[in-house]
Amino acid sequence: MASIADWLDNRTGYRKLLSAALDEEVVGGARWAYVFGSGLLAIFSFQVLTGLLLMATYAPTVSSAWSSVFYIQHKVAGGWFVRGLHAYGAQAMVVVLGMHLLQVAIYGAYKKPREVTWWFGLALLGVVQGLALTGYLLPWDQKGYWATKVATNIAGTVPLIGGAVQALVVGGSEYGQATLTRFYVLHVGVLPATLVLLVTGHLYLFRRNGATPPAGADLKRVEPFYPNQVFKDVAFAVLILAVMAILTSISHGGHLDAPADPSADYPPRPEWYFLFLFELLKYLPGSMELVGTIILPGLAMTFLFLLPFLDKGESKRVGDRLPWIAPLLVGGLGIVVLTWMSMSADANDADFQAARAKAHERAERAIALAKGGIPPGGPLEMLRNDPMSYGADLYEQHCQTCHILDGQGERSAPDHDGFGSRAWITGLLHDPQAKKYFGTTEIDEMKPMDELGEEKIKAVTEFLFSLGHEKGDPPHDGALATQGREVFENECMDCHILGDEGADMFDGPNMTGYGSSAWIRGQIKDPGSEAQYGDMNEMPSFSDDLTDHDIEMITAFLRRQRFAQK
Amino acid sequence: MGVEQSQPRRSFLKLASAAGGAVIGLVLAIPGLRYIADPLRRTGGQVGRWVSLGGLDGMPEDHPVQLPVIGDQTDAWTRSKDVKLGAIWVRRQGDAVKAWNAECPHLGCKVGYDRSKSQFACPCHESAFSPAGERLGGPSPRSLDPLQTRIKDGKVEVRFVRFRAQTPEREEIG
Repeated sequence: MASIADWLDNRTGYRKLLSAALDEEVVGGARWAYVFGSGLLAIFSFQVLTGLLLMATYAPTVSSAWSSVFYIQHKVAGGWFVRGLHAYGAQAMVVVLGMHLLQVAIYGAYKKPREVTWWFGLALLGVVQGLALTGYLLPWDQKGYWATKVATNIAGTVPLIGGAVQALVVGGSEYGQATLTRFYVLHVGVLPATLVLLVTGHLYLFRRNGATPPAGADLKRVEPFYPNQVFKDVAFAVLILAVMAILTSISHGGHLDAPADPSADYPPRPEWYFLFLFELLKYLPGSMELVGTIILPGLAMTFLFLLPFLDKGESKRVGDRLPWIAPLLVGGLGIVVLTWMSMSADANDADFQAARAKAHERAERAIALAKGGIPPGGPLEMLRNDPMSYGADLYEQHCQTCHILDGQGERSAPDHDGFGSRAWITGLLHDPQAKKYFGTTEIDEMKPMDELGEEKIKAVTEFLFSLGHEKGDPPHDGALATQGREVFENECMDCHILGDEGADMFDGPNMTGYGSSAWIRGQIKDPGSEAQYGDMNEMPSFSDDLTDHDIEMITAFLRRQRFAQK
Repeated sequence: MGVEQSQPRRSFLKLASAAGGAVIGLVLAIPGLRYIADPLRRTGGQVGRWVSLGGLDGMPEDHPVQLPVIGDQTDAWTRSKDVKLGAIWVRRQGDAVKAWNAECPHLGCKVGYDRSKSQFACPCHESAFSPAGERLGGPSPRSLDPLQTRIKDGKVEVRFVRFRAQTPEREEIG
């Protein structure tokens, strides 16, 4: 063994390299305060590893990005864990970076001769923010899409160059494939490479000038970097990874929102570490916007940049440097307070919570659908053929101006909760003029059918329910429906049409196929036709406003009320 | 200079550092390897399926024809309808239809038909097969891979499967 090592050392000189790396003397002794820098290096290595794994599955196209992240999260073995580590690693990076900056500032480690080390650190702060921002968009889900849209619009507010910067980052004026590709290349190529270069400079300078012991430390005390400081660094790295792994396990990995949809309502928020900037913008009138987006952050960065020159006294004692440390602490406190204000405002905002709950519902729905396979056109195409999400949106936009469903909407036509179900039909037979039925319309000819008695009402209900029966529906009671047909023919067809018969006296609604897809479709397209409400109709036709596909989606959405369990 | 340190303390710190490094390595390596090895647990894939080739009348007598195989496919997260899955060679003799997978059993290049020599010829390493699919020469370890055919409702159907390349014996890989 020894001879192999000697041979290798003779050819490579690795012992000298190891010795240079590990045997450095830490003046003042190893300290827990020094763990933050190496902690950041550890997190960066976690990010590189998990990032490479994600890249082995991820596809950076508008039609596939969401799908591939879904695939990682729900199909690939351990994918949720790898993705979760990467997501929490990004957050850990921001947190530990904050700690590192504070530690360096409090110890006065930016002072001569370490000014340039400090500047490299500030540049790294910028790169890490860039990585966080670009990574957020890559799943191409609602959360990343809208948050990044806001962020790039903020970049656009920079005087003179803002428009050009925004166009360069977005890859044009529209958000789309060019944006995703650019963010991807920034996230996996440009920014990590820049980070490696900057870290190399940062580390070189750090090794050249050494660590900065706190004021009053015993400088005669010297410990070797290995194992004394290495032990503390490794312990900190283990702690960070443990926290990341625990958070990942608890939350089952990073959240994946519904696919990015430029037409959908969504309450965007940035990641929590940018919330303070988000909150700040709430309090600035439009004309002052630049103060929040550019001037304050710019001033803060300028202050940090100049700090080694402002605080140039010999002393590293915090007490002697209060004027220069105070702004940092006030700024840090401001960030904490603004973040808290933003979170608390959202927590107490019922509308926001409702919007977020709906977004969550949409995410769940998209994921459930995706488990059956995603069409080549991508997840938006998949959702456009889903009555439960797209149909629900169309229903909300076009139908809830007159109909109520799930407590939402205006009431100037029958409610749709349980529309076409047995309960709905029975209720209608008992009290057609109730507000939830025809009470808000001008249709007042139908009288309550209580006189038929419960038994006959039950039979008629089953008969009317059976009219809408389609292949694949749960079965209905055929014998009862046949009894009901008899009752209906005797009692109801003075007014109502059924098939070729009826309506001798009065042109009542046509019950042929009532509650079937064809009937609902007909009601949306041409409600005044003889197959529907005829002359009694008050509902507008939607055949000009909606495509056949859209009408199909609303029809399928509405028809599910027939089976609603309420 | 320096501070005197006991040897046991130094040893402990070294051991603990190595142990910590090992823990980090394992926490990352185990899920990482599971993740990257995911394809290994996805056995089965696209199983053999019957694909319609149309009526007998459309096929020339005793003359190899190449046809694309069209069908539904699940590729990672994408589920596609009616996409090209591969190609086959078909030869009709009277009412009998023979079919072969067009992939060369050597290394999977698509085999063509050389009309001047009346034989199947692989464009890569010059494996050659008779019009009956028998191996004539070249590096291919076996003859062309025949596919089952049947006539259903007047249409020719073929059971499309793939075979592992390079093995003397045929082994379906779906």
